[in-house]
Amino acid sequence: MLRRATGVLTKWARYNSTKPSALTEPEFSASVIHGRSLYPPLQHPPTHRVPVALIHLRAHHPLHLDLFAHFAEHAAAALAIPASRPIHLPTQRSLWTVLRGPFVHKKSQENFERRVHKRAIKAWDADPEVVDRWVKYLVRHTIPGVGIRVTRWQHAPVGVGREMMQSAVGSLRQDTDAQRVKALADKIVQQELLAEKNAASVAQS
Amino acid sequence: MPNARVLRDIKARNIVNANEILRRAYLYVARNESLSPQVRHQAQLQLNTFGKYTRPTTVKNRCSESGRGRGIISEFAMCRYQFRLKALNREIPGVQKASW
Repeated sequence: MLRRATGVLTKWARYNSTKPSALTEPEFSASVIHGRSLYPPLQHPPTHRVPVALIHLRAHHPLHLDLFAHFAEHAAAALAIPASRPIHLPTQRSLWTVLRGPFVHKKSQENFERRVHKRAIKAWDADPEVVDRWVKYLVRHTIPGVGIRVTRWQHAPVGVGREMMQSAVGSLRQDTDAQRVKALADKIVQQELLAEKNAASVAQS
Repeated sequence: MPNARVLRDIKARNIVNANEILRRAYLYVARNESLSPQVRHQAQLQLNTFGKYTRPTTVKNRCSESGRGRGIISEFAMCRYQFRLKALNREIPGVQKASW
């Protein structure tokens, strides 16, 4: 806990400093971090921590991914949605080792990899319509190369499970593969039994 | 124009797909211990009449570029050499030379 607090403090030293705003030149240039704003990002604190949405971003390179995650985070703040900072999930790395030549020469091979970088942003407590707008805004302004997966949770009225079950039972599909196989097999068995009976009766007569 | 072997494989895949349900039904009857041996035997005889392309074992992954049957990387449907040529030309999204 303490280590994390000191990390945050050094990042936003200029914002958090109690000294008067006139810094000396060396102090100022030492505190400038290229690409970072003067102030920490706006974040609305969650009121009840009821999860509402999870935006999962994936890309082969972290450049556009981080940019889009930053964009999503700030869009949420603009819509007053309590959202988390971008969460870095473990990077997946697939490796393929192939022979360099088309024929033999096993001793010279080449490694190829594909990295999938992942980020997640959690959102809490907001109204479903607001979350809808946020998601549509993000989808409208996607960056090519960044994949988005949105998981959403909403309040449903009591008895929704029962209703869904009734509607599903009403439109049950009778044509899954296993059912078709079973039906066909039963038909085949009946045909064979009939053929056997006929053959037996012919043999008798 | 894809390789002749690739065309044969495509034909096999289509025929296997068309006959899968029927074949599985006959297999179910032939392997079912609770049915009479005569019925099971008849089902097995029917199965023997099916052609070779109805069997899923005839389906083989082949390189979509060269038609090579060995050294296929399933994820890209390509043999190892074609995969390497495309990867070096950056024609496969996300794949790069590994270095660590």
